[in-house]
Amino acid sequence: MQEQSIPCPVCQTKIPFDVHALLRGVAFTCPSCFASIGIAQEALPTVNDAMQKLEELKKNIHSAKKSSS
Amino acid sequence: MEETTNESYSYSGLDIRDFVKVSLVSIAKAQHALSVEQTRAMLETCFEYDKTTKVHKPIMLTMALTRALVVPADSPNALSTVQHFTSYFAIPLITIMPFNSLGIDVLNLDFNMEVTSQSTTTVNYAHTFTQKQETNCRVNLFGKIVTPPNTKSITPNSADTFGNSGLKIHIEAHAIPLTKGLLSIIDIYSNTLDPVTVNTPPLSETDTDVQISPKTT
Repeated sequence: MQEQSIPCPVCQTKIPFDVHALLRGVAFTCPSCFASIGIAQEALPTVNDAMQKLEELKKNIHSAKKSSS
Repeated sequence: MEETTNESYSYSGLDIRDFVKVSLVSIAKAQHALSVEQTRAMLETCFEYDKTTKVHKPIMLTMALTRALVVPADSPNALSTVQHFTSYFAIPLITIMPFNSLGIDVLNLDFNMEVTSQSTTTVNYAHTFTQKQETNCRVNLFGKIVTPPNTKSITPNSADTFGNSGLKIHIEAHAIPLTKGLLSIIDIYSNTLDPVTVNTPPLSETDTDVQISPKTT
């Protein structure tokens, strides 16, 4: 799997990150200038709601698949 | 290009081309259903539907960028200090949600067909621009699907075999990249995420606008 990275907004160095960890609220630090980037604490409930909706959709698809087979 | 065909006699059985065509149409329909579900998932999780304006508005996510800045000392005897400043900016939720597009990647269609009849079709091509005429001869095969003599017993949960008819369909679905249009939108959002330059003297709490706020000392 290709490693994901974003350019540091301060020094443009690539910051490797894991999107699932980012969505859990983990902040990632630039190896060059030590600037850290992450989701703001007040935005975490929004992310959690969206992830829950996504999981529900996945469950619905799985249950529909089981009932059809 | 105009195409005219000339078939001169009757035939019996299943046209092999129609048989393959039906399978491909089924796959296209399955791809369409997967795309529709993915779009629905994106709209439900990453957008808010405004019933009055009937517009899907993107849910924005606040990101925090924290960096350390050295604050020079006020007086010659004092030491410089390091302060952490946090900048906040908003990005659409869809740009970081881990969506993968599930699509059918490989279709293998194996079958044993007993040819019951065949026909030859003469196809005349008339090129519109060059006015040249081309004639090709096409062979059509008709037949029925038969069970090979060495068919093994088939388990009920087999994912790639239908019945005992000598027909074997193997489908592989993989996570494929998002559509080009959606990736373009995400790229545009990403490329416009540049830090905002503040035109007032830096390194002072008084110069911070709504986007920059000191975190800790």
